[in-house]
Amino acid sequence: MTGAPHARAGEADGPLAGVRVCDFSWVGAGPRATKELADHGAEVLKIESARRPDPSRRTPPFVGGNGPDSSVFFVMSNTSKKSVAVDLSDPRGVAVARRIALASDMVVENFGAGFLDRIGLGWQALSEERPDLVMVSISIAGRTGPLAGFRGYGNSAAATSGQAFLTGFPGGPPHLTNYAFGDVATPLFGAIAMMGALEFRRRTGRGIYVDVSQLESMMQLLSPAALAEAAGLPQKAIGNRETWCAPNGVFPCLGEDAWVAVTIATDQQWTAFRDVAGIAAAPDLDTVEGRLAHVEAAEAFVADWTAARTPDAAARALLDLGIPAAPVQDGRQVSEDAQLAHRRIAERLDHPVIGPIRHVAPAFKLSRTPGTVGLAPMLGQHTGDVLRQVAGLSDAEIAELMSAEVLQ
Amino acid sequence: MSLLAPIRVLDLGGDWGGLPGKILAEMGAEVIRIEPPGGDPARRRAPMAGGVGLPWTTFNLSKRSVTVDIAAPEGQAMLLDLAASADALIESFPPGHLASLGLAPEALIRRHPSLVVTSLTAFGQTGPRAGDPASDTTVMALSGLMAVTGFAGLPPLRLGVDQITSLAGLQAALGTLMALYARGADGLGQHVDVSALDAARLANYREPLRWEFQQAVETRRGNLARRGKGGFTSTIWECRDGWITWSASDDPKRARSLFDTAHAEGLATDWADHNFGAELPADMDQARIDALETAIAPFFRRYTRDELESMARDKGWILIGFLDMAEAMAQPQLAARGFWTEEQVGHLRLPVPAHPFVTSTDQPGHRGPAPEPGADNDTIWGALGRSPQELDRLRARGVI
Repeated sequence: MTGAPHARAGEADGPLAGVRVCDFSWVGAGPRATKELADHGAEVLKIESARRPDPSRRTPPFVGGNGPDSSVFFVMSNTSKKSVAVDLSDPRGVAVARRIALASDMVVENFGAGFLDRIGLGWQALSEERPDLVMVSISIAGRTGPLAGFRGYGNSAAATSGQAFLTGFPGGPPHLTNYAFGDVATPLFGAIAMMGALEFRRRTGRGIYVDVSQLESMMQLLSPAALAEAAGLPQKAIGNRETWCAPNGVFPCLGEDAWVAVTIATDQQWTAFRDVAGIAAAPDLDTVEGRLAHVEAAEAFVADWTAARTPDAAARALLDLGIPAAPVQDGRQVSEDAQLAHRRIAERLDHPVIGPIRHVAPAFKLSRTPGTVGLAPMLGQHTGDVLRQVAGLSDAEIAELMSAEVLQ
Repeated sequence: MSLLAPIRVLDLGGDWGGLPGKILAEMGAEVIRIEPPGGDPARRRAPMAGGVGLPWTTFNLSKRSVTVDIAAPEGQAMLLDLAASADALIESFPPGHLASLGLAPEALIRRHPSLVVTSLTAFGQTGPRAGDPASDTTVMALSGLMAVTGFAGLPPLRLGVDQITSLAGLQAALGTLMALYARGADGLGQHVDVSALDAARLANYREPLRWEFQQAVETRRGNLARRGKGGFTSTIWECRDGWITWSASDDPKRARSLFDTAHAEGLATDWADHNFGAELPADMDQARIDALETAIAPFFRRYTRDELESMARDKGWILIGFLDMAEAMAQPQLAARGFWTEEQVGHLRLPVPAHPFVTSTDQPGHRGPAPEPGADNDTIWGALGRSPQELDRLRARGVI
């Protein structure tokens, strides 16, 4: 039984029901962390400025116009949240944001260094009034140290962590991917930190400030290479190979730009492949040590065999032998993948401006308290409700701030 | 008191599973690695140093270890005893394997209703691919990330150092923490079913959208970024001592500042009067982008990474140098935050990460070396009432 999350608008359930997050974060690394919480029942109040909305709202593709509610890119990282449009460049807007923050369990931010302190919403100021408040900052290199003020984007940490250097073919340039890996790995460290902080608060009644660094997150994941480097084994890009088994990589198949990924991890798997492929005696290759030492020869046998097959046929035949194998899928194949459909990883919801659009679900399913993927919010969609219910403003106060364009 | 004390986690993570237990351990949980007698065979995976395999060691720092043969009835009884003392159990066997031993996640939870059981597998517990063997590389291939990673004319490329396994491990840590939080409300555990393919699919935040809304599939573009009008700009640039990243800025002021600096040195003179506010790289066709990049490239080649970074700091450009692993480890930023600490790795002392993140109190962090197989057999099994004589008998019979 898979406890698949599915769309149920409006009702909060999931493991984090009752947790309120005041979310000042924008672009990639912050919103992807709070999405995990929102999809699991936390009430995530996304504080946005109508004058300077989350740049994701201006990232293509657009559907149904090109306004702030038309970016399908924005939808992906902001499912299940509420949007509150408050102008933080106006002291009246800051006062409203402060009330929301102080009525929340957790504040999340990834502004430039020191911004929240300057407007009086930093950790020191908020925790004086609410000693049990949790606050989480996410930044490129952390909030302390010589790079604390560094302005960067998701791929900056790929450059400075060594990840880009280790991703590539021997002798080639470093590689920056068209997806920013730092913006997908760091949010997970961020969400883990948020859960650790909430757990801590529940046990102790105390708040805590957490400072998550993209650089450190990436370095954690690269630490096997870091230890090897420190042990005197210089680390370089090795293409698609593995350090501990061979052959490992992608191999050309029948068709244009058609490839199959294959990992032969054990001697047993090699023997099975060798017999099916009709490889004449190559005793050098019968052990993993031998295949690592003669990796090009081992790879050539696999490439010869895959070249006569489509990716699907090659993968199927190898899987039947117990060998990890898979076609290299493009965006269309991923969208149509039967396993991902079974997991309900991206279910269509009807967005008021965009129309039907797949909202991405979490990568894990909780059997008893599954999450619920809800619509991504339109800019300022929940401003009135949140100001009334969370910040405790009267309708007259809200109307006044609306007409002054402090709220939208 | 640290973030997760006094939570106890049993760690039966295999190929997919070392990282989540390590992170929970460094957040303060007591994490007990459960290995077959003789130890996890993955301990010897290359690269080796100091006599131990580094991939295994890295993701099993800060844990304890017991050995037990969970295929033997006596070993199963011991695991069930231990589970009674635990808050969570993380496993990454192929779906159905634990059930075949009578230890299905659902059965474990029935027996210990407050237990969180997290299963971390390539594809999740059910579905058409659930029974397929898989690896970091094959899951990345299925996720669509590999098709767009790499260079035109070359094969699809992996990310260095098993990053898909790591994404899956992070998701497993997160799912475990969410289930523990839910348990805080009502005392009940549950099963967390984590899929590495789902984790990689979440990381692929562009390509499924491109297909859904533009009916287009992307290919490998090397170090080029797609721009508004369909042109591509370079994301990496050669400088005097390596490479830097600067992306043709979509902020007119920053772009102007860079070109003014180049102009003052007699470079990029054709762009001296260009109004970036009226025409950004995102608005240009490819020929014009090429002209702009050809004009600015000599400026970067004139300086070292450090010199360019120093200018960037003063002038607000978003620019930083590429570091290799040795340089990355040595950067002052990490030292200033105390990111590295020294630990025994086999017979070597090596730097290991000191913390997953920094906190204002109860700082999480590294807690000790990767354990020897069964290093904690006497204390942990002893605490469950197994006498030294009984443990000797179990050892002799290969159960522990």
